[in-house]
Amino acid sequence: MTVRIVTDSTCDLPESRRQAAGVVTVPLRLHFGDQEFRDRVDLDDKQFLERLGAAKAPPPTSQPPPGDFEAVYRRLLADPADEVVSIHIAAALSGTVGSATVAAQAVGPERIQVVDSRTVSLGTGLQVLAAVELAEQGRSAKEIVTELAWMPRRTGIICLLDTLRYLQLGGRIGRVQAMLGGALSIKPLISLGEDGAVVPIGRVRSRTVGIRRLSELLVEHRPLAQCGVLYVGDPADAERLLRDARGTFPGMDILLQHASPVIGSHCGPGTIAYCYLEARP
Amino acid sequence: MAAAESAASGAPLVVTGRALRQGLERALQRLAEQRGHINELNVFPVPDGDTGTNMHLTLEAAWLEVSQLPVEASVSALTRAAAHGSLMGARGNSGVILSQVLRGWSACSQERESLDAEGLSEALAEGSRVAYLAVKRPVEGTILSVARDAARAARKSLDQGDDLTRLAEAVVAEAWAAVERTRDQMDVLREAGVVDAGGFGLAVILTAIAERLTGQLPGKVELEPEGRGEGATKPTIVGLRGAAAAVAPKGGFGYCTEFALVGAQLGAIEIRSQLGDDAEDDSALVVGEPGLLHVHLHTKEPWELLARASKLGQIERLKVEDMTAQHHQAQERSGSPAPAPAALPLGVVTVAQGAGFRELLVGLGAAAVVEGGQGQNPSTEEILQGIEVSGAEEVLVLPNNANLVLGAEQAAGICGRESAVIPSRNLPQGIAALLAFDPEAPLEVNRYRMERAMEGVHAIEVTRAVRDSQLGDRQVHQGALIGVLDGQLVSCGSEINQVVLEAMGELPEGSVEVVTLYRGADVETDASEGLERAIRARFPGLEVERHDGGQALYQFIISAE
Repeated sequence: MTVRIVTDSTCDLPESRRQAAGVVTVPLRLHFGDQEFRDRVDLDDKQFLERLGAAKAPPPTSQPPPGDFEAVYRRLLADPADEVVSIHIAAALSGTVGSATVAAQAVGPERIQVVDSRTVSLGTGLQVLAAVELAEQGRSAKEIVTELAWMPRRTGIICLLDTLRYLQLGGRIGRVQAMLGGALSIKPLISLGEDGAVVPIGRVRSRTVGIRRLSELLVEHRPLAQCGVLYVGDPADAERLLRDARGTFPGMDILLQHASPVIGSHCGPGTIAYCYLEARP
Repeated sequence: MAAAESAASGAPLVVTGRALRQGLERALQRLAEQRGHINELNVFPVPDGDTGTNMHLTLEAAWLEVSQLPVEASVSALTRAAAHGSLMGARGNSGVILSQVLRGWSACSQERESLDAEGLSEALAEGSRVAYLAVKRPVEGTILSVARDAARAARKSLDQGDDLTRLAEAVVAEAWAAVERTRDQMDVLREAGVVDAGGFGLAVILTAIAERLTGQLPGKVELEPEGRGEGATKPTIVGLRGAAAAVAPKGGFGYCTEFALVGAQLGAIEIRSQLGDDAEDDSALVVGEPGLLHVHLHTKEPWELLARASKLGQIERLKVEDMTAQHHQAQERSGSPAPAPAALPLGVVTVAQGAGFRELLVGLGAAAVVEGGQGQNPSTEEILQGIEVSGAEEVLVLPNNANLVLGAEQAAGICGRESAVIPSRNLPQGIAALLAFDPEAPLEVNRYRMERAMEGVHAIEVTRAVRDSQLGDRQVHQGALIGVLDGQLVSCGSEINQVVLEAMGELPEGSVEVVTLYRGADVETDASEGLERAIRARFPGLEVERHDGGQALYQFIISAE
């Protein structure tokens, strides 16, 4: 029996890690005008940033159609003994979990476990890595899901945006609406609530202050099992945050990753964030 | 053209594959027309992106598969193709749910050449059931409740012994009623004053299919929903109430035109096609029997329409209303009087002088701004009034002036509600505190965060000396410009730039990253731009932002943080 791990393109694990772990990724979609792109398949980070810069508004994004999941599940489950654990972006942010669930029902709900990571990006990625490890230990899909159950509540993301514009235009602003600065230019700090919906943390007047605040907040989350730094666009500030994080958590394997185009289109260029997984209680 | 197989009486007995195919084609066309309207229903804050576009693309994917089939294909083959196509092409939540509705229809139609009234009712019920399964926590007031209520209406109609035509009419009427109910079922919709976009899209699809089954728009659609505003269920009206309501389309909304057409020889469908493009529009209604037809539509050129109609029959009970004028009136009504403030659990009441500052503070989330400041201190009673006006159950007061801290504490003490004063001594401190305000956090948490946020914010105020005084060994004459840093006189001179730069030189080393200039009412924009340039030249690396404060007496109020 083999348990295969499926995720979606918003799970910002480095490509090499995904491949090494045999994780199958189903891409979300972006729509620049009439053109549809599969996240990270038809567009790499650089092409995405160029298109985003040239577009009047950030591209609408949408979950993968259930058919994509069906195809992947059927392929992975060709051997009747095999199972799938499918871990995805928070249902509060995207309908991806819905598409996966619909597909799972069609293909074989008893062999496919769909998991709402209740977080996003590397937060989902850290759960995926944990699932891979459990699968390698020979655990069943059900066991893996049970084992992972503690993780969503202890996974977090703290994100400094350059502007609220992208979140606003993408329609995922939620409670952060109250943070709009009016005429004053502000840099919002956001996080995700327990269900995965966007919540405000604070607003600062400058990027420098915001990055310093990120480093301070990271220290407050100790003890951590793992963390990673995420950015959209220029990596310089992210590398600075990475250095701080390495200083705070010496010896930890800290990932540095450019966010997927779908995440990038909702956060905007200049976004810098870290994802963390607290130590298991 | 009757799309369903008809008995001699004219009432269709069954839904054939051909009828359903034409219905789906019509639905796709309708969704394409309504796409913009439906997208607009996704008002801020929106749960997801573009519902209209997503539903249209999903149905288009269904249609692509359906259109591959021969025209005589069975209902079974047709719904299977539609379900498969939509499943592969589903976009967004509403698209996925739509694909599940179609999947339910398909499951129920297996091996069936056509559907009778009972079969249609069962298919609708199965569509609703399967759609509910796709959602983990179904919510009332969405496309799901529209699917369910429409299916229930079908069952009820069937139990009453209605024929297929009546049943289709009942489904459409109930679908739109359910769409209208979504407005009250979801808080976000109620606040935005719109109906659910996905539910609206499904009602458009059901209406288009029913129209093909019955050969006309079911008569019940034209009924005004009881106890509701005018035409609340009609596409255009709903669109106007959405986010787009603020802007009238180019050329206005046109005229709402309604009349009875008596003695015409033709049926509703033929009349519709002869009345011109406006009659083909979604909101247009042409219903009734030859001889007595009811026409209700929106047009920019009612005279053209009436000229065409008068050739077909006699026009009676004519009513023409200018919707652009109605729209303006509605906007005026909503503009005044000011709506009573909704009860806030926690609000910030603050004090400022100057239109620019008032606007900024409101933009940052202040519930009330009391007029006043240096040389014009508001009374305790005025602060108390501000607290009343805010409508907040719990209040945080930002006095923004050292002389007002006590007055604010007095007002807070007698306002009869939970309250606290954050002792901001100037506007820069007040703005920094307000930036840290989180309306959903408890009062004490906010108090702590806001007081912390004020630390490290310096204020430089530039004004004219009201009397002679001394700055170190320098004489400051009455009328000279002076710079006051955190309440201390630190610079003087005859030029604003020099006074500000000198004051900034007194700021603690390395403590400042952002400087915000708030220009006074008596200062020209040029002077503000010049000051920004001077600061950038002297302190490269600082972020400098300019705003109009609009304050009297103070040439500049400057925040350094």
